[in-house]
Amino acid sequence: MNKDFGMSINRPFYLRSRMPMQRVVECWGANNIILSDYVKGRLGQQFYFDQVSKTIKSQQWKDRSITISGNGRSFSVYMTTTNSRWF
Amino acid sequence: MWEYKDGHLLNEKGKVLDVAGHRDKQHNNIGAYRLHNGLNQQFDLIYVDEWKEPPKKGELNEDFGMYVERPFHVRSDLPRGRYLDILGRNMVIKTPNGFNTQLWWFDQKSRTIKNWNNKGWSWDIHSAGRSTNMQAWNTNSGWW
Repeated sequence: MNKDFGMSINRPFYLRSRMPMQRVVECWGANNIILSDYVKGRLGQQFYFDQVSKTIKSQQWKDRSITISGNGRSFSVYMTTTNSRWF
Repeated sequence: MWEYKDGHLLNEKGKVLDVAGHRDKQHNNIGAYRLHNGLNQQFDLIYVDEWKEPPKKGELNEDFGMYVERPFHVRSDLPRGRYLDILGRNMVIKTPNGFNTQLWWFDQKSRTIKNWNNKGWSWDIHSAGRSTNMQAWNTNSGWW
């Protein structure tokens, strides 16, 4: 467990919305991040905390991390190749 | 960098993951927005090894307190103990009569309460929730 980040290291997880339909966050098409019905075993719906880069990565696309576009100024969140800006 | 804290995924600039437009719809976009603590910004981080599969037919949905696809009556606590029924589309109480219009069930897919006689109808507050009147209305994508 990394207490600073509130996540266990390299332990896959789902992010389930607390809205009524309890959909989960999904990495869609390697880049987009959307809300979707849970599908058993779908790796695009699983993420993990990477201790090296201190980022949240996709279980399906392990070279990609969640980021905010526009250097954090935009609303848009997407998956991008993990690079040295993070570490 | 993101931190999971109090049901939010928070980044170092104070933004949190946010379901766009508060719309709980399939394939809706997710972005990052300033924290306002709305339900559309709250997520449970559930490890895969602790994930519980959604309840199937006959199983209890603990979040909603109802069994999936298991018909039930809704009996008024008023002295006559009448059952919830539908008259046209309107929800009313009626003397128990054994008709399926007085039977209801919880649908796991739409997370709504449906009528056993009209399985495409769900409980609905008239005027998109602004009225005090309850009706049974076509289950539609407003729910999902």
